[in-house]
Amino acid sequence: MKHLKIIFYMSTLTICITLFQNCSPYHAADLPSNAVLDDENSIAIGQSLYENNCAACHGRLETSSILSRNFEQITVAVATVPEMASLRGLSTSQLEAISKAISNELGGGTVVINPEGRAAFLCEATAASKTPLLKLTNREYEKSIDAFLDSFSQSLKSDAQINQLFSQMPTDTIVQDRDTYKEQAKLVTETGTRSHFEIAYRASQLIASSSSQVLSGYPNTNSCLSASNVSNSCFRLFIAELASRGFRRPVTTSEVNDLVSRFWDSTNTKAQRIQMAVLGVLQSPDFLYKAFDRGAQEPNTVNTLNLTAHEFTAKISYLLTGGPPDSQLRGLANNGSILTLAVLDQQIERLLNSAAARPTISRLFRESYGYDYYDGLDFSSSFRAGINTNGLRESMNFELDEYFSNLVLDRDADFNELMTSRLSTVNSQALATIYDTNTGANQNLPVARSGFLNRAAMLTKRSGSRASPIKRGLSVLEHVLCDEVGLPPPSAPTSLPDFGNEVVSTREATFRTSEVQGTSCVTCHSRINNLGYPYENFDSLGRLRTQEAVYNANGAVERYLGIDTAVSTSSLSLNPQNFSDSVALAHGIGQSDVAMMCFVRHLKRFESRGREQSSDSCQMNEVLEVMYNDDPGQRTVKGAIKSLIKSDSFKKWSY
Amino acid sequence: MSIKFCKKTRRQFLMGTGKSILALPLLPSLLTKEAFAQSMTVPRRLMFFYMDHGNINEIWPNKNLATQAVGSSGARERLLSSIGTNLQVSPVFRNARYASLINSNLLTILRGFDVAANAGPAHGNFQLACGEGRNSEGNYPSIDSIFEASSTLYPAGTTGANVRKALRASLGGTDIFYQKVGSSIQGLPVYRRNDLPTFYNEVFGSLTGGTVPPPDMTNQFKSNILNRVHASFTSFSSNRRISADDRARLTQHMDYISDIQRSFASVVPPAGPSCSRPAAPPDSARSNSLEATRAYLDLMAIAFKCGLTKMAAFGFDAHNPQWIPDLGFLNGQNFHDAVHGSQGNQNQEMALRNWWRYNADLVADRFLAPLDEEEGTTGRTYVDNMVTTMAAAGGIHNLGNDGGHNGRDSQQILIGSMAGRLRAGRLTVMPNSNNRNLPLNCFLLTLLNLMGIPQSEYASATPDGRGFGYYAAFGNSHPFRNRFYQPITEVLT
Repeated sequence: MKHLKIIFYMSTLTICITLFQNCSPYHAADLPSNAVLDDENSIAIGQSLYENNCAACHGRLETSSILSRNFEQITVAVATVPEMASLRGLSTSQLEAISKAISNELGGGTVVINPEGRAAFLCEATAASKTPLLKLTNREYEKSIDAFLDSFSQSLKSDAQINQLFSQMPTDTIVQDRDTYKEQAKLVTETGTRSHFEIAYRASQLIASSSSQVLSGYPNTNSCLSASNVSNSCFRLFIAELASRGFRRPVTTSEVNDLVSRFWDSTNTKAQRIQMAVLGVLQSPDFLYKAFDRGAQEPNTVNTLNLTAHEFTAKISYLLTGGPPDSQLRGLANNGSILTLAVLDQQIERLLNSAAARPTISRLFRESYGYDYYDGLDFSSSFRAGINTNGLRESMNFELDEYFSNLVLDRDADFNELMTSRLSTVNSQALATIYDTNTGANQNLPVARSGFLNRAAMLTKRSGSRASPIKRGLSVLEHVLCDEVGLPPPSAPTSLPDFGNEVVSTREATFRTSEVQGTSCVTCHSRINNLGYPYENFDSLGRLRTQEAVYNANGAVERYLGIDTAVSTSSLSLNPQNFSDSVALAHGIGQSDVAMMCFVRHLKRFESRGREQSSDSCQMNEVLEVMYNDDPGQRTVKGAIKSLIKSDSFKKWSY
Repeated sequence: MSIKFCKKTRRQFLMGTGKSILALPLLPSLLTKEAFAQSMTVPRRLMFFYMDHGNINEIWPNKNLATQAVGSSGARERLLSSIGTNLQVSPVFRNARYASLINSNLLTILRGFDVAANAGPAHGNFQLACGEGRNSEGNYPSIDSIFEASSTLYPAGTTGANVRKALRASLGGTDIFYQKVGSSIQGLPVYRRNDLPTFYNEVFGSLTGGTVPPPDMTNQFKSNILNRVHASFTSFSSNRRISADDRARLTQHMDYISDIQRSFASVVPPAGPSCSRPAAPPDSARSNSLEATRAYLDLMAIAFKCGLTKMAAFGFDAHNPQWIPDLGFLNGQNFHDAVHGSQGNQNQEMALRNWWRYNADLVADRFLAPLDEEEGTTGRTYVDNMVTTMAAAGGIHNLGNDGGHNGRDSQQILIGSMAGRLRAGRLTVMPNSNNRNLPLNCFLLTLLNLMGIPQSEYASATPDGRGFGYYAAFGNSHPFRNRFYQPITEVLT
């Protein structure tokens, strides 16, 4: 009997195990290899597969190092990268699911073909992405403080101490996207906070020690600041006016009451009361941040607001000039006319024509194309042949700053002209020697220098002693075409091998090393290299050459090799295109929808200080439409910038 | 043989006692330095020298030399001074200063760390020590941000307004340091070769001509203002229509305001050496890697001595530093590729060894030398009172093994003893089981421990709030799973 019971229990147990073994938690990694995944679930399944199989090496999906990889690249990598051998059991459908999950995480802007046959962003009705609360960058902070001081006296901002404090501000730029410097508008550090406080403190000292005439003339205070002390009522008038200027908008009675109750101290001296009022405003989040949350709610939404007229002017002003609205803009905000299209158009034009817009345009293009980032300018003296590289970096930056400012702001250039112009301002002998020209402003360089990609800054930015088609190609692929390649495997060689007695050109060496069929290298390098080979007619210092010099160990030229700059690439459009050299490539880029879309992405990133989202696609299409206009006079880059500002989304705040 | 019994007379006893009483005042001179050291609180300081590409075991002592058991988990140690001269310990240590450090038991080699994240590239794990690109592999804050934010390390009431809580500089490319903000991380700026003037201005801009300024009421006024400013932020954060992420950043901003406010609130400036502003680095250093390296090392040493910081990180040029004379044998071939084995084992070893050795010389001459003097009345030097690490990324395991920074058995170099808190002067080899070594995270926790950082200040760095670093890849079956969240007690006193 006892034996039967044991058999019974064992049998029951076995049956239970059998019945419930399929009720264990679902593990996507256990997915049968021949499963057919429907689209609806494939992204979710792909996300799970990624977490189980990829995240350990490539990080969480949201910040994965392989967001740019497509299905083909993933497949080849799994098949060829030794560290990924354990993934070879994944099926094609599983790899597809992972690819879909990765694509789904990419920033906004899936590409489609519009009815006119041009590439466009997929515009679908989606919830607006959150508008981040952006802090004033160092550049904007300095301009805002200067403007604040100017409201008292134009001389205050010349103070040596405050300018020294500005020079000591900890940097707020970091390297992003491999090789571009970007200002960080969401970065808060203790040193930055302290630095901004000390600057504001100095500003308060300057204001408090201003002459009686200056103080009594401060607007809307009934000259009460000329009295021997500052009464509470005077303090109220003063802080209200300070706040309306500092916060870039009218302040409510309630806000003034809060400020007074918070910063009024009857034990303070007159100077201290003035300082308290100034600092209360200059250290307020409403001064330090661009908060646009006071408008009315957008109908049929929960967390989307329409910017007020004052918020709108502040946003425009910081975008175009890097500083707060001037008195004219404030007036137009006060009467609401800034919201009318004609006035808005006129004001955008005025701001773009102002001197303040030029550094902003430079900033936009520096952050877009990275021409102010250099690995180093270390060249042997024999290679430099007398060219002094001290100050060369600044000279190259200046040339392209002027290039973009002149073309966009003075010449109303369209995108094609931006990519192909021969305009240059050469302000150093070193750069003049590189270009085989003279120093001078607004000169036309030879045809070989068409466009900014054929200029020294872009040609040298990542050069070593030997020009690198790979690094040059990466600059074009990632920054001009927005095709992000991601990081190479850590052991990927970063230099070309020695071929022993065989002396080959850089192009040939690059091809042999990185474009071997069947390897994981070729899927990326076939895209990268073909955008770098056209620049083989420039050496690593950006000098034009018709032959490639081969140097011996002593730095002397040993022999010369032929140059081949012809390429075929499908990175600029859906179909392969042939380009004979970098000038032809520049013209191709100038006509490329992909390149124009990339510029629009950069513009959006510059405006929003972050990656574009899929919900930004419709707005980006509006900008793109301007760039696609058949009328050359209408498809200017300036017009594209205007279009961004005039778009509906620009006037929204989502939280 | 007869035994003599020496009987003391009363006279002899009294004479001896008198002499002993006379000797009493001399006894303190016979006390160990530690007795004096306890009477002066020494700040904890940590310097990271980030050595990219890691180590190869061939240039360091064989781990079998460590024969003495230490602790109870299988670790072994051996005094480095018993291995031999500085060059016998490692060809990297050719500078005479390392001989002195070894003989003084102030140089430590910790061996046997698993730096890899799973089987993949180990950049992702090492970033947690001092920052390196590829944080996308982990999305974790770097350890420097923990020190920077620590109120234990930088108490609000006694941290001077001119203190920089973390200095970050690198000639090594795209190093990125990260701080945690809410649920996300934020990249932090790094000073590079071209940024020397900015670094100098920021760190030394507050120094005057060499005197400690007398306290005045300005700091109290500033403290007063910031107290009220903090209230503005509180109101803004509570009442405005902003997202949760924005609120998290505002909270961080408010924390900084509080810290700064408290730093002003101390009436008497914290005691410390008065320092003159050092000479500004030459402008030519902005375009010369050797000059820039020297300048950063010089300035960071001064910053530590002057009490301007307690934590700094510097990354050496490691991508293709052809300017290093000791790499001339490469004949222009790329350094990075050589250390990954593209030119064979001999060149791989030589490239790494020569690069390590050249930079170790710079550390010795430019950073350690100025710190090699007694700190106040502690009886110890600045070098001894702090810890300087030559911390390796990943680790190229052995010659010929181009695991791409896949350091499963790496080592870390430590100089100094943190005023006796570190069991220094040894080759200490971590336990090994089934060819698995101790996760590097334990080394990072050791550094946090040495710096006195409580767990509460780094709990947010990992999802489970227990450790520091990226553990997921090590798996539940790891033989040292029970040590994941522990510092290396074998090296702590």
